[in-house]
Amino acid sequence: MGLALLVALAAPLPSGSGWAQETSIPVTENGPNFVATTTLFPGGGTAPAEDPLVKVYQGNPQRIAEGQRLFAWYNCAGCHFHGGGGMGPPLMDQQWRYGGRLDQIYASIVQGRPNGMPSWARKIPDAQIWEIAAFVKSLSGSSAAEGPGQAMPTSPPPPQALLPPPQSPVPGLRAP
Amino acid sequence: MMRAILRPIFIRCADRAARHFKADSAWRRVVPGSFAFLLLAPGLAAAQSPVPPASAAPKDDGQWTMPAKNYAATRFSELQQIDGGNVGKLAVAFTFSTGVNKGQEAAPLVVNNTMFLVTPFPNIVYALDLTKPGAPLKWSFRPHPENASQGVACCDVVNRGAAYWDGKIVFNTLDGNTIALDASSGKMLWKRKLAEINQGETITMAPLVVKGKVLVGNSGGELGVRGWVAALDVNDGKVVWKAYATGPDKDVLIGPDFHPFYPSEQGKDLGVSTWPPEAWEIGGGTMWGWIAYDPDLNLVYYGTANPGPWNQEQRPGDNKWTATLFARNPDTGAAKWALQYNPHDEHDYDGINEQILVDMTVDGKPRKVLMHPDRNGHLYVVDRINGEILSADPYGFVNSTNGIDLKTGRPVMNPDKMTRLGTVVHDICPTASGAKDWNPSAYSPRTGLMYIPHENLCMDWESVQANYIAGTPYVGANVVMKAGPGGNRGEFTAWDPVQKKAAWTIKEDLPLWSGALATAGDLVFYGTMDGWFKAVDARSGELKWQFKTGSGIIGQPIAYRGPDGREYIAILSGVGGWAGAIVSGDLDPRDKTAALGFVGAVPDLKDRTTPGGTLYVFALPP
Repeated sequence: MGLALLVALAAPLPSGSGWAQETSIPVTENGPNFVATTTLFPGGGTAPAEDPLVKVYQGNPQRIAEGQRLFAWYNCAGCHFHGGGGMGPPLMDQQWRYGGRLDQIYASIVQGRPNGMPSWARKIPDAQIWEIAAFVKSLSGSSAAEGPGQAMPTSPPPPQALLPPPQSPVPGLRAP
Repeated sequence: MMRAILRPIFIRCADRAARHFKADSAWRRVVPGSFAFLLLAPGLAAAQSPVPPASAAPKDDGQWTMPAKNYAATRFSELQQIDGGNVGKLAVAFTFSTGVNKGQEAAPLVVNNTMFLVTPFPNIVYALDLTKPGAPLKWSFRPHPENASQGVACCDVVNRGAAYWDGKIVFNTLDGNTIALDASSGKMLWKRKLAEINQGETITMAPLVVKGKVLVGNSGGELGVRGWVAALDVNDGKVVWKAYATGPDKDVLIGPDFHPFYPSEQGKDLGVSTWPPEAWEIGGGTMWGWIAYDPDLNLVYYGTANPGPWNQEQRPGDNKWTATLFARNPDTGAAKWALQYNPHDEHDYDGINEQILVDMTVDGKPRKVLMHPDRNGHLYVVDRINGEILSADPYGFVNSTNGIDLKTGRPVMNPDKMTRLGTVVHDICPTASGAKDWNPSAYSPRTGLMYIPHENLCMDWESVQANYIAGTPYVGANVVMKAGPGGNRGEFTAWDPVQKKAAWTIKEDLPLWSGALATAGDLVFYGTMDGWFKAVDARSGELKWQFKTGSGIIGQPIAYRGPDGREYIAILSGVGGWAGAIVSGDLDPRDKTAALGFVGAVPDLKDRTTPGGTLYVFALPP
């Protein structure tokens, strides 16, 4: 594993601005640094405009399905389970510590958050983070009748082994 | 069942005739106006009454200097002011808010008329002055652990308590440090970083200090860490030895002194060869539970936690030395013997539960044993000299195994309840959290009974592929827990280790996640997850008193003698831990797999209690 990791790290990165260029999604000036995680703006004001990429991902069934697969692949489910939470907070309820707008969720995944959310910047390709965020967003407000937790574990998803792995391995990841 | 009550009473002179009653202080009381001792001696059962070794359970001085009370881990107080006749008058003496609304698993300590508390993350230490009315704050210490450590703590951000040694309070922080404080001032003496949160390691256990060495183990068995126990010099925190649970013998501190009882524990580098290549590096075997110590044999005893990942198909082999009881020399760490409770565990049956040391007669022969209620549902009586299992009997409902083979030391697995990739196996009992989890039992030498607070839960389990990403969960299972047979999710069992059966059992609706305390007043104390703190008759289990605290109880009750000579009972209230994470973490009950499946067992807990963090101390009216 050590050798594989070294090779992965030694592989030349695409020139330019990094991970985002690996995808077909254009780099924007929005991104996590431009997302507010608060609704408090002294003296008034509004949150920054929504990232245009939100329209690409939010409610997009293909992106959400891929996000669901990646949510398991990158061990998000190990903390948040099927939305009910565990080590991490629940994602299927209506409470958002750091904002529930899709670009805010994206920013939380990229940057990490101080009480235990890891930073996934440069560890998960940008487009995949958007897909994961889209899946997370889709969990919110799930009703008891259609909550994903209800489907587990009696009707499991397709075995991951049958699915192709993500394109960019996380440093330190040991695929089974 | 009533054997203890029927014991005849002998009067003996106050000479040393009773010396063979080691730890006899529990058995005698001074008769006013005479030099006689009243001995509650067991009649016909005399030779069979288990007694903790005196060296590991010295005469009670009214303090409480380590979470388990003594090295024998009896959690038995010789105080007898509060008894079945007056416990109904027990009332709150004082309270104290920890200011932290997470799971309060710690035992308070009482030393030199000061009470010491450790909170869950952020692991604040409080010292309360018991000599003044209301026990005001003497000092507090804030270690400021890394906030991020909360994200790699599998099951709430708990801490199981501190230890006192020679003027020092020693405790661990969630972000992997061991810290020693001056007990009188609260000033930090030293701090030693032992665990790395970016590798998924945390520390939640209460340290044990043996011969000037602080014994500490790591947590993180659900995050692909490699388990270890380290010994630190109590004076400066330097690591004296460190014993890994997996890997080559030199890392496990297995050498020429290692003489395990069973053949399957014998061989070279089994911590490597019983794993797929390199899997032992991330295979778990942490130690976040209890350590006992026998000064006569100079051995410490502890069990290691589950192998990782939970998906057993990713790690064929016995996976040594996970879910394994070790006996080690505390001076060097050298292993004397090992006993793997659950080879190739496939149900998350950690071996970290308590070991209570007693000397007892087995088949007519005196044996030095330890009693261990394992997560797999069996009460092990193990010879603590050589690691032989003398008996292993189910103390709760079990169908994952068909008993323990005493010839091999291994469980006989039930093929119907073995876990598989992509298959939901229904109604495995006990659950991943075990017939009993970390919450420690007590043992009363007066009744000869071991008081086991435990669970009655079963689970559905589906193994899935686990990816290893350092510092993130490495589990590979979808689990949903539920009530076991009868529907009651908790049980409080008084276990007779001689008869090898329960003397009595109290059914509790919610799982029991609190420890137990036994006293010479023949009372046993424990708490429930909806906040009731209870005292029951140690011989019959009859409920004698209860008090509703502010939040669910998952802590460890203690008893101490106050500066005014009165007996006090203390307990921290504040729900959480793995079982209470739904409340302390505000989880969503609609996802039954949440919190590794425990939410499925307690979807109603949010309607029964709320988060909290309050110390309650009780006494009889003056």
